[in-house]
Amino acid sequence: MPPNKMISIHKVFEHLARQSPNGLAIRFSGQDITYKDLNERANYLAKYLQGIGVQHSDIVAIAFSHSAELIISMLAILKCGAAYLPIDDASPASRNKAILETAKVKVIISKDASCNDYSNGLKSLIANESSLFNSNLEEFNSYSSAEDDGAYVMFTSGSTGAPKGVLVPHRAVIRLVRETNYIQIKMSDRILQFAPPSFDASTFEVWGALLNSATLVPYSGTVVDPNVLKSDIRNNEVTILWLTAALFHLVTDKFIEALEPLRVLLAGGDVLNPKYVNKVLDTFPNITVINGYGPTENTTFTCCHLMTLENKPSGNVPIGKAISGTTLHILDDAFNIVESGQVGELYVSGPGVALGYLNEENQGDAFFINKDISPDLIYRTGDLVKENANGELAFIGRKDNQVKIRGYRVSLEEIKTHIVELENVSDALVITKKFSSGDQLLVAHIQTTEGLEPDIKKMKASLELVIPKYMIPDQFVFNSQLPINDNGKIDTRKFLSTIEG
Amino acid sequence: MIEGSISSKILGFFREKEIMKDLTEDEDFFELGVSSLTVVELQIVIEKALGLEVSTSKLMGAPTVKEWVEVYEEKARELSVEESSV
Repeated sequence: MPPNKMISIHKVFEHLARQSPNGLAIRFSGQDITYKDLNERANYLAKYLQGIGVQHSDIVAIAFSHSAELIISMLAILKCGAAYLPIDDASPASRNKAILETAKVKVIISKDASCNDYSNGLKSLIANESSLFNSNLEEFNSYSSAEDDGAYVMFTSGSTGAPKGVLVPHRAVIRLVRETNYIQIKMSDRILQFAPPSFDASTFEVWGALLNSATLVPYSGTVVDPNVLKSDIRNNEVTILWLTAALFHLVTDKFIEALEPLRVLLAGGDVLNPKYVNKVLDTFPNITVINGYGPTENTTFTCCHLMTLENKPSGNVPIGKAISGTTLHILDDAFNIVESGQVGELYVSGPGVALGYLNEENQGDAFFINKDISPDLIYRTGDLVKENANGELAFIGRKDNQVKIRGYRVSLEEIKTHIVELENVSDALVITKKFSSGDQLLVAHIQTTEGLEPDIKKMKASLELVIPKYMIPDQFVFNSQLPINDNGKIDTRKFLSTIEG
Repeated sequence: MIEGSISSKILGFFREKEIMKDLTEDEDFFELGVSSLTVVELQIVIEKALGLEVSTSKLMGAPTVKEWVEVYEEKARELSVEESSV
Protein backbone atom coordinates (compact mmCIF):
# COMPACT_ATOMS: atom_id res chain seq x y z
CA MET A 1 0.00 0.00 0.00
CA PRO A 2 1.42 3.45 -0.85
CA PRO A 3 2.41 5.42 2.24
CA ASN A 4 -0.15 8.18 1.67
CA LYS A 5 -2.92 5.65 2.21
CA MET A 6 -1.51 4.79 5.64
CA ILE A 7 -2.33 8.10 7.25
CA SER A 8 -5.56 7.13 8.96
CA ILE A 9 -6.11 4.63 11.75
CA HIS A 10 -8.66 2.51 9.91
CA LYS A 11 -6.63 2.36 6.68
CA VAL A 12 -3.62 1.06 8.60
CA PHE A 13 -5.86 -1.46 10.34
CA GLU A 14 -7.45 -2.58 7.05
CA HIS A 15 -3.97 -2.98 5.57
CA LEU A 16 -2.91 -5.20 8.48
CA ALA A 17 -6.15 -7.19 8.25
CA ARG A 18 -5.35 -7.99 4.60
CA GLN A 19 -1.72 -8.75 5.47
CA SER A 20 -2.48 -11.23 8.26
CA PRO A 21 -6.20 -12.01 8.16
CA ASN A 22 -5.91 -14.90 10.59
CA GLY A 23 -3.89 -12.99 13.16
CA LEU A 24 -5.57 -12.69 16.55
CA ALA A 25 -7.00 -9.17 16.99
CA ILE A 26 -9.08 -9.58 20.14
CA ARG A 27 -9.12 -12.21 22.85
CA PHE A 28 -11.97 -11.64 25.25
CA SER A 29 -13.41 -14.16 27.70
CA GLY A 30 -12.18 -17.06 25.64
CA GLN A 31 -13.63 -15.58 22.43
CA ASP A 32 -11.08 -15.13 19.68
CA ILE A 33 -11.62 -12.56 16.92
CA THR A 34 -9.20 -12.51 13.99
CA TYR A 35 -8.16 -9.36 12.13
CA LYS A 36 -10.29 -10.38 9.14
CA ASP A 37 -13.34 -11.05 11.32
CA LEU A 38 -12.95 -7.80 13.27
CA ASN A 39 -12.58 -5.82 10.05
CA GLU A 40 -15.67 -7.39 8.52
CA ARG A 41 -17.78 -6.89 11.63
CA ALA A 42 -16.70 -3.24 11.70
CA ASN A 43 -17.59 -2.99 7.98
CA TYR A 44 -21.10 -4.23 8.69
CA LEU A 45 -21.66 -1.74 11.49
CA ALA A 46 -20.08 1.08 9.45
CA LYS A 47 -22.48 0.44 6.60
CA TYR A 48 -25.36 0.59 9.06
CA LEU A 49 -24.08 3.82 10.63
CA GLN A 50 -23.70 5.35 7.18
CA GLY A 51 -27.29 4.32 6.48
CA ILE A 52 -28.61 6.25 9.48
CA GLY A 53 -26.70 9.34 8.41
CA VAL A 54 -23.31 9.19 10.15
CA GLN A 55 -20.79 11.00 7.99
CA HIS A 56 -17.40 12.65 7.82
CA SER A 57 -16.66 15.03 10.76
CA ASP A 58 -19.52 13.75 12.92
CA ILE A 59 -18.82 12.75 16.51
CA VAL A 60 -20.42 9.48 17.57
CA ALA A 61 -20.59 8.55 21.27
CA ILE A 62 -19.86 5.04 22.58
CA ALA A 63 -21.00 4.01 26.07
CA PHE A 64 -19.33 0.66 26.55
CA SER A 65 -17.00 -0.91 29.01
CA HIS A 66 -14.23 -3.18 27.79
CA SER A 67 -15.61 -5.53 25.13
CA ALA A 68 -15.33 -6.59 21.49
CA GLU A 69 -18.36 -4.38 20.77
CA LEU A 70 -16.45 -1.32 21.94
CA ILE A 71 -13.62 -1.99 19.48
CA ILE A 72 -15.98 -2.87 16.60
CA SER A 73 -17.79 0.45 17.24
CA MET A 74 -14.58 2.49 17.32
CA LEU A 75 -13.45 1.04 14.00
CA ALA A 76 -16.87 1.40 12.38
CA ILE A 77 -17.11 5.06 13.37
CA LEU A 78 -13.65 5.76 11.94
CA LYS A 79 -14.54 3.93 8.72
CA CYS A 80 -17.40 6.42 8.27
CA GLY A 81 -14.90 9.29 8.56
CA ALA A 82 -16.36 10.26 11.93
CA ALA A 83 -14.70 10.54 15.35
CA TYR A 84 -15.60 8.46 18.40
CA LEU A 85 -16.30 9.81 21.87
CA PRO A 86 -16.09 7.26 24.71
CA ILE A 87 -18.61 7.99 27.46
CA ASP A 88 -18.18 6.74 31.01
CA ASP A 89 -21.53 5.24 31.89
CA ALA A 90 -20.75 5.61 35.59
CA SER A 91 -20.30 9.39 35.38
CA PRO A 92 -23.17 11.57 36.58
CA ALA A 93 -25.93 11.79 33.93
CA SER A 94 -25.76 15.60 34.01
CA ARG A 95 -22.06 15.54 33.15
CA ASN A 96 -22.60 13.06 30.31
CA LYS A 97 -25.47 15.15 28.99
CA ALA A 98 -23.25 18.24 28.95
CA ILE A 99 -20.51 16.31 27.17
CA LEU A 100 -22.87 15.02 24.46
CA GLU A 101 -24.22 18.54 23.91
CA THR A 102 -20.77 20.08 23.71
CA ALA A 103 -19.71 17.49 21.13
CA LYS A 104 -22.99 17.91 19.18
CA VAL A 105 -23.46 14.15 19.21
CA LYS A 106 -26.43 12.79 17.22
CA VAL A 107 -25.81 9.04 17.55
CA ILE A 108 -24.78 7.02 20.58
CA ILE A 109 -23.89 3.32 20.63
CA SER A 110 -24.48 1.70 24.01
CA LYS A 111 -24.28 -1.66 25.71
CA ASP A 112 -27.76 -1.30 27.22
CA ALA A 113 -30.55 1.16 27.77
CA SER A 114 -28.79 2.82 30.73
CA CYS A 115 -27.63 5.57 28.38
CA ASN A 116 -31.25 6.76 28.15
CA ASP A 117 -30.64 8.70 31.37
CA TYR A 118 -28.57 11.25 29.47
CA SER A 119 -29.06 10.58 25.75
CA ASN A 120 -32.55 12.08 25.25
CA GLY A 121 -33.15 13.07 21.67
CA LEU A 122 -30.21 11.07 20.28
CA LYS A 123 -30.37 8.07 18.03
CA SER A 124 -29.21 5.19 20.15
CA LEU A 125 -28.04 1.76 19.08
CA ILE A 126 -28.30 -0.77 21.86
CA ALA A 127 -25.83 -3.60 21.44
CA ASN A 128 -27.65 -6.26 23.41
CA GLU A 129 -30.76 -5.87 21.29
CA SER A 130 -29.14 -6.09 17.90
CA SER A 131 -27.19 -8.35 15.62
CA LEU A 132 -25.24 -5.35 14.31
CA PHE A 133 -22.11 -6.47 16.08
CA ASN A 134 -22.12 -10.09 15.01
CA SER A 135 -22.67 -9.79 11.26
CA ASN A 136 -19.91 -9.64 8.67
CA LEU A 137 -19.52 -7.58 5.53
CA GLU A 138 -16.52 -8.46 3.41
CA GLU A 139 -16.03 -5.15 1.63
CA PHE A 140 -16.79 -1.58 2.69
CA ASN A 141 -15.46 1.50 0.99
CA SER A 142 -14.20 3.29 4.09
CA TYR A 143 -13.72 7.05 4.13
CA SER A 144 -10.26 8.27 3.11
CA SER A 145 -9.66 10.37 6.20
CA ALA A 146 -6.93 12.99 6.03
CA GLU A 147 -4.21 12.88 8.68
CA ASP A 148 -5.60 16.03 10.29
CA ASP A 149 -9.14 14.67 10.50
CA GLY A 150 -10.41 14.05 14.03
CA ALA A 151 -10.32 10.42 15.19
CA TYR A 152 -11.61 10.70 18.75
CA VAL A 153 -12.63 13.09 21.48
CA MET A 154 -11.72 12.73 25.13
CA PHE A 155 -12.87 15.00 27.89
CA THR A 156 -10.47 16.16 30.56
CA SER A 157 -11.49 17.94 33.72
CA GLY A 158 -10.53 21.51 33.11
CA SER A 159 -9.04 23.58 35.92
CA THR A 160 -11.98 25.95 35.46
CA GLY A 161 -14.45 23.18 36.25
CA ALA A 162 -16.23 22.57 32.92
CA PRO A 163 -14.93 19.45 31.16
CA LYS A 164 -12.95 20.17 28.00
CA GLY A 165 -13.24 17.98 24.93
CA VAL A 166 -9.89 17.35 23.25
CA LEU A 167 -10.19 16.53 19.53
CA VAL A 168 -7.35 14.19 18.54
CA PRO A 169 -6.51 13.58 14.86
CA HIS A 170 -5.51 10.36 13.12
CA ARG A 171 -1.87 11.38 12.72
CA ALA A 172 -1.49 11.80 16.49
CA VAL A 173 -2.53 8.20 17.15
CA ILE A 174 -0.29 6.80 14.42
CA ARG A 175 2.61 8.82 15.83
CA LEU A 176 1.92 7.27 19.27
CA VAL A 177 2.05 3.59 18.33
CA ARG A 178 3.77 3.11 14.94
CA GLU A 179 7.56 3.09 14.48
CA THR A 180 8.27 4.86 17.73
CA ASN A 181 11.31 5.02 19.99
CA TYR A 182 9.96 3.99 23.40
CA ILE A 183 8.46 0.61 22.59
CA GLN A 184 8.48 -1.99 19.83
CA ILE A 185 5.15 -3.76 19.81
CA LYS A 186 5.46 -7.15 18.17
CA MET A 187 2.86 -9.38 16.53
CA SER A 188 3.27 -11.80 19.42
CA ASP A 189 2.46 -9.13 22.03
CA ARG A 190 -0.78 -9.09 23.95
CA ILE A 191 -1.89 -5.80 25.46
CA LEU A 192 -4.47 -5.68 28.23
CA GLN A 193 -7.07 -2.97 27.72
CA PHE A 194 -7.34 -2.06 31.36
CA ALA A 195 -7.72 1.73 31.31
CA PRO A 196 -11.31 2.99 31.12
CA PRO A 197 -12.17 3.72 27.44
CA SER A 198 -12.78 7.37 28.35
CA PHE A 199 -9.21 7.68 29.67
CA ASP A 200 -6.54 8.36 27.07
CA ALA A 201 -4.20 5.53 28.11
CA SER A 202 -6.74 3.36 26.27
CA THR A 203 -5.54 4.96 23.02
CA PHE A 204 -2.16 3.37 23.60
CA GLU A 205 -3.68 0.03 24.56
CA VAL A 206 -6.19 -0.32 21.71
CA TRP A 207 -4.21 1.10 18.80
CA GLY A 208 -0.88 -0.09 20.18
CA ALA A 209 -2.24 -3.60 19.64
CA LEU A 210 -4.40 -3.18 16.53
CA LEU A 211 -2.01 -1.01 14.49
CA ASN A 212 0.87 -3.43 15.11
CA SER A 213 -0.79 -6.79 14.31
CA ALA A 214 -0.70 -7.62 18.03
CA THR A 215 -3.60 -8.85 20.20
CA LEU A 216 -5.85 -6.71 22.38
CA VAL A 217 -7.18 -8.34 25.54
CA PRO A 218 -10.12 -6.32 26.91
CA TYR A 219 -10.20 -6.50 30.72
CA SER A 220 -12.97 -8.84 31.81
CA GLY A 221 -13.86 -7.16 35.12
CA THR A 222 -16.20 -4.27 35.76
CA VAL A 223 -14.21 -2.58 38.54
CA VAL A 224 -10.51 -2.68 39.42
CA ASP A 225 -10.34 -6.18 40.91
CA PRO A 226 -6.87 -7.54 41.74
CA ASN A 227 -7.88 -11.18 41.23
CA VAL A 228 -9.43 -10.48 37.82
CA LEU A 229 -6.40 -8.42 36.82
CA LYS A 230 -4.12 -11.28 37.74
CA SER A 231 -6.17 -13.97 36.01
CA ASP A 232 -6.67 -11.84 32.87
CA ILE A 233 -2.90 -11.36 32.62
CA ARG A 234 -2.12 -15.04 33.27
CA ASN A 235 -4.87 -16.73 31.28
CA ASN A 236 -4.34 -14.58 28.21
CA GLU A 237 -0.54 -14.38 28.44
CA VAL A 238 -0.58 -10.58 28.45
CA THR A 239 2.85 -9.07 27.74
CA ILE A 240 2.19 -5.31 27.89
CA LEU A 241 0.30 -3.49 30.67
CA TRP A 242 -0.38 0.14 31.60
CA LEU A 243 -1.13 1.11 35.22
CA THR A 244 -1.75 4.54 36.73
CA ALA A 245 0.84 5.52 39.33
CA ALA A 246 -1.20 4.88 42.48
CA LEU A 247 -2.30 1.45 41.29
CA PHE A 248 1.24 0.68 40.14
CA HIS A 249 2.46 1.46 43.66
CA LEU A 250 -0.24 -0.65 45.30
CA VAL A 251 0.12 -3.67 43.00
CA THR A 252 3.90 -3.61 43.26
CA ASP A 253 3.83 -3.26 47.03
CA LYS A 254 1.20 -5.88 47.82
CA PHE A 255 0.41 -8.00 44.75
CA ILE A 256 3.52 -8.10 42.60
CA GLU A 257 2.95 -11.72 41.55
CA ALA A 258 0.19 -10.47 39.22
CA LEU A 259 2.83 -8.86 36.99
CA GLU A 260 4.91 -11.95 36.34
CA PRO A 261 4.13 -12.69 32.65
CA LEU A 262 4.78 -9.11 31.51
CA ARG A 263 7.49 -8.01 29.07
CA VAL A 264 6.76 -4.29 29.39
CA LEU A 265 5.03 -2.46 32.23
CA LEU A 266 4.10 1.17 31.62
CA ALA A 267 3.07 3.42 34.47
CA GLY A 268 2.46 7.11 34.94
CA GLY A 269 -0.18 9.77 35.33
CA ASP A 270 1.56 10.91 38.48
CA VAL A 271 5.07 10.78 39.91
CA LEU A 272 6.42 7.22 40.22
CA ASN A 273 8.13 6.15 43.40
CA PRO A 274 11.58 4.72 42.49
CA LYS A 275 11.35 2.17 45.33
CA TYR A 276 8.53 0.37 43.57
CA VAL A 277 10.14 0.60 40.14
CA ASN A 278 13.23 -1.04 41.62
CA LYS A 279 11.15 -3.72 43.29
CA VAL A 280 9.63 -4.66 39.92
CA LEU A 281 13.04 -4.73 38.23
CA ASP A 282 14.60 -6.82 41.01
CA THR A 283 11.70 -9.27 41.03
CA PHE A 284 11.42 -9.71 37.24
CA PRO A 285 14.92 -9.27 35.79
CA ASN A 286 13.74 -9.32 32.15
CA ILE A 287 11.02 -6.71 32.44
CA THR A 288 11.14 -3.16 31.08
CA VAL A 289 9.38 -0.49 33.14
CA ILE A 290 8.41 2.66 31.25
CA ASN A 291 7.47 5.90 32.97
CA GLY A 292 5.00 7.38 30.51
CA TYR A 293 4.29 11.08 30.82
CA GLY A 294 2.00 13.29 28.84
CA PRO A 295 -1.19 15.34 28.75
CA THR A 296 -4.24 14.14 26.76
CA GLU A 297 -3.73 17.21 24.55
CA ASN A 298 -0.50 15.71 23.17
CA THR A 299 -1.99 12.22 22.71
CA THR A 300 -1.23 9.97 25.68
CA PHE A 301 2.57 10.12 25.79
CA THR A 302 4.89 13.07 25.35
CA CYS A 303 8.00 11.73 27.09
CA CYS A 304 8.93 8.23 28.17
CA HIS A 305 11.70 6.90 30.38
CA LEU A 306 12.74 3.27 30.00
CA MET A 307 14.12 1.35 32.95
CA THR A 308 15.64 -2.13 33.10
CA LEU A 309 17.79 -4.01 35.59
CA GLU A 310 20.82 -2.40 33.90
CA ASN A 311 19.23 1.03 34.07
CA LYS A 312 17.61 1.28 37.47
CA PRO A 313 16.45 4.65 38.75
CA SER A 314 18.56 6.22 41.44
CA GLY A 315 16.68 9.00 43.11
CA ASN A 316 13.70 10.47 41.24
CA VAL A 317 12.28 8.66 38.24
CA PRO A 318 12.73 10.96 35.23
CA ILE A 319 9.95 11.36 32.67
CA GLY A 320 12.68 10.80 30.13
CA LYS A 321 12.96 11.92 26.55
CA ALA A 322 10.55 12.99 23.83
CA ILE A 323 8.87 10.13 22.01
CA SER A 324 9.11 10.05 18.20
CA GLY A 325 7.22 12.87 16.52
CA THR A 326 7.42 15.15 19.54
CA THR A 327 9.34 18.41 19.88
CA LEU A 328 9.88 19.73 23.39
CA HIS A 329 10.35 23.39 24.25
CA ILE A 330 11.37 24.25 27.83
CA LEU A 331 10.68 27.94 28.16
CA ASP A 332 10.58 30.73 30.70
CA ASP A 333 7.66 33.13 31.06
CA ALA A 334 8.99 35.29 28.22
CA PHE A 335 9.13 32.27 25.86
CA ASN A 336 12.93 32.11 26.00
CA ILE A 337 14.54 28.68 26.03
CA VAL A 338 15.92 28.10 29.53
CA GLU A 339 19.50 26.99 30.02
CA SER A 340 20.05 23.28 30.31
CA GLY A 341 19.47 22.19 33.90
CA GLN A 342 17.18 25.11 34.69
CA VAL A 343 13.51 24.70 35.51
CA GLY A 344 11.13 25.84 32.79
CA GLU A 345 7.61 25.23 31.59
CA LEU A 346 7.14 22.46 29.04
CA TYR A 347 5.60 23.32 25.66
CA VAL A 348 5.20 20.72 22.93
CA SER A 349 4.74 20.67 19.18
CA GLY A 350 4.61 18.03 16.45
CA PRO A 351 2.12 15.50 15.09
CA GLY A 352 0.98 14.44 18.59
CA VAL A 353 -0.58 17.83 19.35
CA ALA A 354 -4.39 17.67 19.26
CA LEU A 355 -6.51 19.92 17.05
CA GLY A 356 -7.74 21.85 20.10
CA TYR A 357 -10.73 21.85 22.43
CA LEU A 358 -14.26 21.46 21.14
CA ASN A 359 -15.76 24.13 23.31
CA GLU A 360 -13.94 27.16 22.05
CA GLU A 361 -14.85 29.37 24.95
CA ASN A 362 -12.57 27.15 27.04
CA GLN A 363 -9.69 27.30 24.56
CA GLY A 364 -7.77 29.75 26.75
CA ASP A 365 -4.10 30.00 25.89
CA ALA A 366 -3.36 26.27 25.94
CA PHE A 367 -3.08 25.83 22.15
CA PHE A 368 -1.42 28.59 20.15
CA ILE A 369 0.82 29.46 17.22
CA ASN A 370 4.12 31.25 17.69
CA LYS A 371 6.46 31.06 14.71
CA ASP A 372 9.46 31.98 16.91
CA ILE A 373 9.02 28.71 18.78
CA SER A 374 7.70 26.36 16.09
CA PRO A 375 5.96 26.48 12.71
CA ASP A 376 3.34 24.08 14.10
CA LEU A 377 0.56 24.37 16.65
CA ILE A 378 2.01 24.48 20.17
CA TYR A 379 0.47 23.10 23.36
CA ARG A 380 1.34 24.54 26.74
CA THR A 381 1.42 21.75 29.32
CA GLY A 382 1.47 23.83 32.51
CA ASP A 383 4.09 21.40 33.82
CA LEU A 384 7.48 22.44 35.10
CA VAL A 385 10.42 20.32 34.05
CA LYS A 386 14.19 20.42 33.95
CA GLU A 387 16.74 18.56 31.92
CA ASN A 388 19.37 16.43 33.66
CA ALA A 389 22.91 15.69 32.44
CA ASN A 390 21.69 12.74 30.35
CA GLY A 391 19.24 14.89 28.44
CA GLU A 392 16.30 13.36 30.30
CA LEU A 393 13.56 15.48 31.73
CA ALA A 394 12.65 15.50 35.39
CA PHE A 395 9.11 16.42 36.31
CA ILE A 396 9.17 19.23 38.87
CA GLY A 397 5.49 19.94 39.31
CA ARG A 398 2.50 21.85 38.08
CA LYS A 399 3.13 25.46 37.33
CA ASP A 400 0.02 26.43 39.22
CA ASN A 401 1.09 24.49 42.30
CA GLN A 402 3.73 27.02 43.18
CA VAL A 403 3.50 28.96 46.38
CA LYS A 404 5.48 31.69 48.04
CA ILE A 405 6.96 30.66 51.36
CA ARG A 406 9.14 33.01 53.34
CA GLY A 407 9.52 35.05 50.19
CA TYR A 408 10.71 32.19 48.07
CA ARG A 409 8.83 30.69 45.16
CA VAL A 410 8.40 27.03 45.99
CA SER A 411 6.86 24.07 44.18
CA LEU A 412 4.96 21.87 46.60
CA GLU A 413 5.36 18.98 44.15
CA GLU A 414 9.09 19.34 44.24
CA ILE A 415 9.17 19.06 48.03
CA LYS A 416 6.92 16.04 47.82
CA THR A 417 9.19 14.24 45.37
CA HIS A 418 12.03 14.55 47.87
CA ILE A 419 9.95 13.36 50.81
CA VAL A 420 8.72 10.21 49.09
CA GLU A 421 12.34 9.25 48.48
CA LEU A 422 12.97 9.05 52.22
CA GLU A 423 13.16 5.73 54.00
CA ASN A 424 9.84 4.28 55.14
CA VAL A 425 7.77 6.85 53.28
CA SER A 426 5.24 5.48 50.81
CA ASP A 427 3.44 8.69 49.80
CA ALA A 428 3.14 12.31 50.82
CA LEU A 429 1.22 15.49 50.27
CA VAL A 430 2.66 18.92 50.99
CA ILE A 431 0.28 21.78 51.61
CA THR A 432 0.44 25.29 52.95
CA LYS A 433 -1.34 26.30 56.10
CA LYS A 434 -2.14 29.86 57.04
CA PHE A 435 -1.83 30.60 60.72
CA SER A 436 -3.66 33.29 62.64
CA SER A 437 -0.43 35.27 62.67
CA GLY A 438 -0.76 35.50 58.87
CA ASP A 439 2.32 33.36 58.33
CA GLN A 440 2.11 30.66 55.77
CA LEU A 441 3.78 27.45 56.80
CA LEU A 442 4.54 24.25 54.96
CA VAL A 443 2.90 21.10 56.25
CA ALA A 444 3.86 17.65 55.02
CA HIS A 445 1.30 14.89 55.40
CA ILE A 446 3.16 11.65 55.18
CA GLN A 447 2.04 8.13 54.65
CA THR A 448 4.54 5.69 56.07
CA THR A 449 5.25 2.08 55.32
CA GLU A 450 3.17 -0.11 57.60
CA GLY A 451 3.92 -0.24 61.29
CA LEU A 452 6.99 1.97 61.25
CA GLU A 453 7.41 4.84 63.64
CA PRO A 454 8.80 7.80 61.67
CA ASP A 455 11.66 9.86 63.01
CA ILE A 456 10.99 13.53 62.24
CA LYS A 457 14.47 14.65 63.22
CA LYS A 458 16.06 12.16 60.87
CA MET A 459 13.67 13.08 58.07
CA LYS A 460 14.45 16.77 58.37
CA ALA A 461 18.17 16.05 58.39
CA SER A 462 17.88 13.93 55.24
CA LEU A 463 15.84 16.60 53.48
CA GLU A 464 18.37 19.27 54.35
CA LEU A 465 20.88 17.37 52.25
CA VAL A 466 18.80 17.71 49.10
CA ILE A 467 16.66 20.86 49.30
CA PRO A 468 17.16 24.38 50.63
CA LYS A 469 16.09 25.06 54.20
CA TYR A 470 13.19 27.24 53.16
CA MET A 471 11.67 24.24 51.44
CA ILE A 472 11.74 22.01 54.53
CA PRO A 473 8.21 21.59 55.92
CA ASP A 474 7.47 23.21 59.26
CA GLN A 475 5.14 20.47 60.35
CA PHE A 476 5.07 16.78 59.72
CA VAL A 477 1.81 14.92 60.14
CA PHE A 478 1.65 11.15 59.81
CA ASN A 479 -1.39 9.62 58.21
CA SER A 480 -1.74 6.00 57.37
CA GLN A 481 -3.81 6.80 54.29
CA LEU A 482 -4.05 9.76 51.92
CA PRO A 483 -7.26 9.84 49.86
CA ILE A 484 -6.91 8.81 46.21
CA ASN A 485 -9.31 10.08 43.56
CA ASP A 486 -10.74 8.11 40.61
CA ASN A 487 -7.72 8.94 38.49
CA GLY A 488 -5.41 7.32 41.02
CA LYS A 489 -3.94 10.60 42.17
CA ILE A 490 -3.91 12.02 45.68
CA ASP A 491 -7.16 13.89 46.14
CA THR A 492 -5.89 17.16 47.58
CA ARG A 493 -9.28 18.82 47.82
CA LYS A 494 -10.85 15.89 49.65
CA PHE A 495 -7.86 15.72 51.94
CA LEU A 496 -8.05 19.40 52.80
CA SER A 497 -11.75 19.10 53.59
CA THR A 498 -11.10 16.21 55.99
CA ILE A 499 -8.37 17.98 57.93
CA GLU A 500 -10.29 21.23 58.10
CA GLY A 501 -13.58 19.51 58.90
CA MET B 1 -12.55 -22.29 59.40
CA ILE B 2 -13.60 -20.76 62.71
CA GLU B 3 -15.92 -17.88 61.92
CA GLY B 4 -14.81 -15.69 64.79
CA SER B 5 -11.25 -15.58 63.48
CA ILE B 6 -12.30 -14.21 60.06
CA SER B 7 -14.22 -11.46 61.79
CA SER B 8 -11.43 -10.31 64.09
CA LYS B 9 -8.79 -10.50 61.36
CA ILE B 10 -10.82 -8.36 58.99
CA LEU B 11 -11.66 -5.76 61.61
CA GLY B 12 -7.98 -5.68 62.60
CA PHE B 13 -6.83 -4.89 59.04
CA PHE B 14 -9.38 -2.12 58.67
CA ARG B 15 -8.39 -0.54 61.97
CA GLU B 16 -4.75 -0.39 60.90
CA LYS B 17 -5.80 2.47 58.63
CA GLU B 18 -5.68 5.77 60.48
CA ILE B 19 -9.06 7.00 59.26
CA MET B 20 -10.69 3.75 60.38
CA LYS B 21 -8.97 3.23 63.70
CA ASP B 22 -12.28 3.47 65.57
CA LEU B 23 -14.35 1.67 62.93
CA THR B 24 -17.19 -0.48 64.20
CA GLU B 25 -18.52 -3.57 62.45
CA ASP B 26 -21.71 -1.87 61.25
CA GLU B 27 -20.20 1.40 60.07
CA ASP B 28 -20.20 2.24 56.33
CA PHE B 29 -16.50 2.82 55.68
CA PHE B 30 -17.12 4.77 52.46
CA GLU B 31 -18.66 7.44 54.67
CA LEU B 32 -15.30 7.81 56.42
CA GLY B 33 -13.68 8.81 53.13
CA VAL B 34 -12.19 5.47 52.16
CA SER B 35 -11.15 5.37 48.50
CA SER B 36 -11.80 2.44 46.16
CA LEU B 37 -8.04 1.94 45.98
CA THR B 38 -7.95 1.42 49.75
CA VAL B 39 -10.71 -1.16 49.40
CA VAL B 40 -8.54 -3.04 46.89
CA GLU B 41 -5.55 -2.79 49.21
CA LEU B 42 -7.53 -4.17 52.16
CA GLN B 43 -8.91 -6.92 49.94
CA ILE B 44 -5.39 -8.01 48.91
CA VAL B 45 -4.09 -8.00 52.49
CA ILE B 46 -7.14 -9.81 53.88
CA GLU B 47 -7.17 -12.44 51.14
CA LYS B 48 -3.51 -13.20 51.66
CA ALA B 49 -4.20 -13.73 55.37
CA LEU B 50 -7.34 -15.81 54.85
CA GLY B 51 -6.36 -17.70 51.70
CA LEU B 52 -9.72 -16.84 50.12
CA GLU B 53 -10.61 -14.88 46.98
CA VAL B 54 -13.84 -12.99 46.31
CA SER B 55 -14.78 -10.34 43.76
CA THR B 56 -14.07 -6.67 44.43
CA SER B 57 -17.47 -5.58 43.17
CA LYS B 58 -19.08 -7.80 45.82
CA LEU B 59 -16.97 -6.11 48.49
CA MET B 60 -17.73 -2.61 47.14
CA GLY B 61 -21.43 -3.39 47.46
CA ALA B 62 -20.94 -4.48 51.07
CA PRO B 63 -19.28 -1.49 52.71
CA THR B 64 -19.18 -2.65 56.35
CA VAL B 65 -16.87 -5.06 58.14
CA LYS B 66 -19.87 -7.18 59.10
CA GLU B 67 -20.86 -7.64 55.46
CA TRP B 68 -17.27 -8.40 54.41
CA VAL B 69 -17.16 -11.12 57.04
CA GLU B 70 -20.35 -12.59 55.58
CA VAL B 71 -18.92 -12.49 52.05
CA TYR B 72 -15.74 -14.29 53.11
CA GLU B 73 -17.55 -16.79 55.34
CA GLU B 74 -19.84 -17.67 52.47
CA LYS B 75 -16.80 -18.23 50.27
CA ALA B 76 -15.17 -20.42 52.93
CA ARG B 77 -18.35 -22.52 53.19
CA GLU B 78 -18.54 -22.90 49.39
CA LEU B 79 -14.98 -24.16 49.32
CA SER B 80 -15.51 -26.65 52.14
CA VAL B 81 -18.62 -28.02 50.38
CA GLU B 82 -16.59 -28.43 47.19
CA GLU B 83 -13.83 -30.19 49.09
CA SER B 84 -16.14 -32.60 50.86
CA SER B 85 -17.95 -33.45 47.61
CA VAL B 86 -14.70 -34.40 45.87
